[in-house]
Amino acid sequence: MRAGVLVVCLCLIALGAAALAAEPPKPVSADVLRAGGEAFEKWCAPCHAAGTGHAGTMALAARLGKEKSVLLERTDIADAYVKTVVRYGFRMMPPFKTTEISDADLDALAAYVASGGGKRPVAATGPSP
Amino acid sequence: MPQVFPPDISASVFDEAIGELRAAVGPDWVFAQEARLNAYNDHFAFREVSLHAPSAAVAPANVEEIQKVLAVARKHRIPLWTVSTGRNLAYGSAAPRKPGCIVLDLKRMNRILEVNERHAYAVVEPGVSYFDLYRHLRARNSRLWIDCAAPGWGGVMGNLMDRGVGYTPYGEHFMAACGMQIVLADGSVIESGMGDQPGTAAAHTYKYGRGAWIDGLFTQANFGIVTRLGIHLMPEPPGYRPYLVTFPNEEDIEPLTEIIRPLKLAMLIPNAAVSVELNLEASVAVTKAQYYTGTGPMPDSARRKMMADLNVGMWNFYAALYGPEKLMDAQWQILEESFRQIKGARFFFEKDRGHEAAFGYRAKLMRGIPNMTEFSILNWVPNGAHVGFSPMASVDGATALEQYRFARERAHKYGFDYTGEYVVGWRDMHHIFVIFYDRDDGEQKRNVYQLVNEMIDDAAAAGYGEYRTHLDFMDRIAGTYSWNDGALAKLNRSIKDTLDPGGILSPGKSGIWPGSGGRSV
Repeated sequence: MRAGVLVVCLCLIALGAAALAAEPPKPVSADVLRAGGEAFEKWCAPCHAAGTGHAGTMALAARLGKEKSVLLERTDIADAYVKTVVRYGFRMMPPFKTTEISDADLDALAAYVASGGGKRPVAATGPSP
Repeated sequence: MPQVFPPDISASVFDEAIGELRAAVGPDWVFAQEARLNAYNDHFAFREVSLHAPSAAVAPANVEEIQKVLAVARKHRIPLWTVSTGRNLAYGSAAPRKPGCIVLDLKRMNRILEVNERHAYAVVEPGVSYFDLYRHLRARNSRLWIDCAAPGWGGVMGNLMDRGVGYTPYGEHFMAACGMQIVLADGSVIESGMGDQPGTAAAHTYKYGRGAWIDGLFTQANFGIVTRLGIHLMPEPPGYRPYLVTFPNEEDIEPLTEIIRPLKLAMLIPNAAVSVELNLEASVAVTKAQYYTGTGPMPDSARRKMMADLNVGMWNFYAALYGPEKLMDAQWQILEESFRQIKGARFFFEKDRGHEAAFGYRAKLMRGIPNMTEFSILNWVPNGAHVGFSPMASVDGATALEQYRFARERAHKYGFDYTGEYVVGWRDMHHIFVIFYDRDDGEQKRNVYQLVNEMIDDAAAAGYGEYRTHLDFMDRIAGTYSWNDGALAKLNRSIKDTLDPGGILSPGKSGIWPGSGGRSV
């Protein structure tokens, strides 16, 4: 998918998430948090953990500022956004295959990230792209 | 992107083949729709993505399923493109050389079949990443180290099969290979080396068996599918001491390389000896825009400011000592005396700079701790992507300086910074020039393509050949290996047509094309 199309998709996802926000957010279950946390540690933390030496954190700091650079400290990421970025990639971040992150793991991972590692309830969105 | 089909295959035949593949590996492990297939494209493509777009991907779980996939490919004459993890983004990731190939994704074959503490080796399947093997060893309190490429998500087997390098004393990865299981295009399975003798106890401790040794034939090639690999692992040494020596001037790469050669030959530097140029060294910690927001390469005045701010050198040499403290002390005395011959050399250790991004991740790599810090270099430019240009040479100071000037001059001509390093394995010197570009900037991408093509030709004229490359340059580089009217290329094609007469395995890999299937791009 070309970058421009992806940006449009991401905007639509943001709008969709806003619409869905009217529904009451649900707490993320312990099982989902555990699976999402494991997937995050395996696939995301090497680039997106806090501190120096993390490529994704450095990229977000350069583009959005330090206050938005650490994924799990963000409060503005919808789980559908996470799913789309993981499957399509975004800027320097490449996409991830189903053989790397299964749909079930991606659902849990997205909920984990959107909830800030379980700190907040999450509004439900659609299935993985 | 419109639906892509395998070469000379109609939509109906393709659908039939997809159905047969689903029956072979299960419906969940055949991917033909864009949302699933997108991850098999070249995310950092500098030409049209469609030039390397697969028609589908199939992910078998074992050798039996691979054999079924091969039967489908032979029946319909559909080419497959084999990847283990498909994570080398500088060389094309999981995308096939020829559009329409079906990617044979071996990521699901991710078992670590054996760890032998006594004889210090492991046996792995293709989908095992460096992170996987490292975590497995740590979970069982192993005393063995791994050797990893810089991005830890890379495949133990895939990197080795592409003859990649790492940073511990086991950094020449293919040297550590010992025993392969290989599936040929006709579905037959062979064991290499000692593994060919039923019941052997030395399958992963002695490489060669007897008679012709074939393992090298299956690296950077398309003669078979390696499905299992023995790999030697380094026992944890009693001590480890990484160090950094910085040098203030561009010309210092010449005497530095002259100093490295005898130290490597005498094994006083036991691991990969890496000399990193300023821009690449800085790029894991800062962005180019922090020092220069104009167009074209960063001016020297800004580079000097960056060098001072980061307290690094124009060249930055990383290596490590391994062994008992007394031995390391004695070795260090010789090393320090050697490097001090260069005026302005400064010495740093883990206690000084281990907390910094650059020293920190290299200290991890030199003891086999996988990480992703080097991916930070992509932040050098916004929306960064990269491609590698990697000529080989003997370890020679004048050559190192000449190649540096060669690459820098051409990079500047096309508006790029020189961002590179030299990695001395033993008697060889890998020059890794990593070109950074904006993945959505059409002009920069066109310039990347022209620059690398120009460098391939000019390097060949100067006597330098690349050791591996991106999909888009495989044919051009293969053409520079041309002695005796391309005799070696003819041999490769003969082997290809004998082992894979239908041309179904990774056509075009390293410039090796089957006689029956021409190149389409």
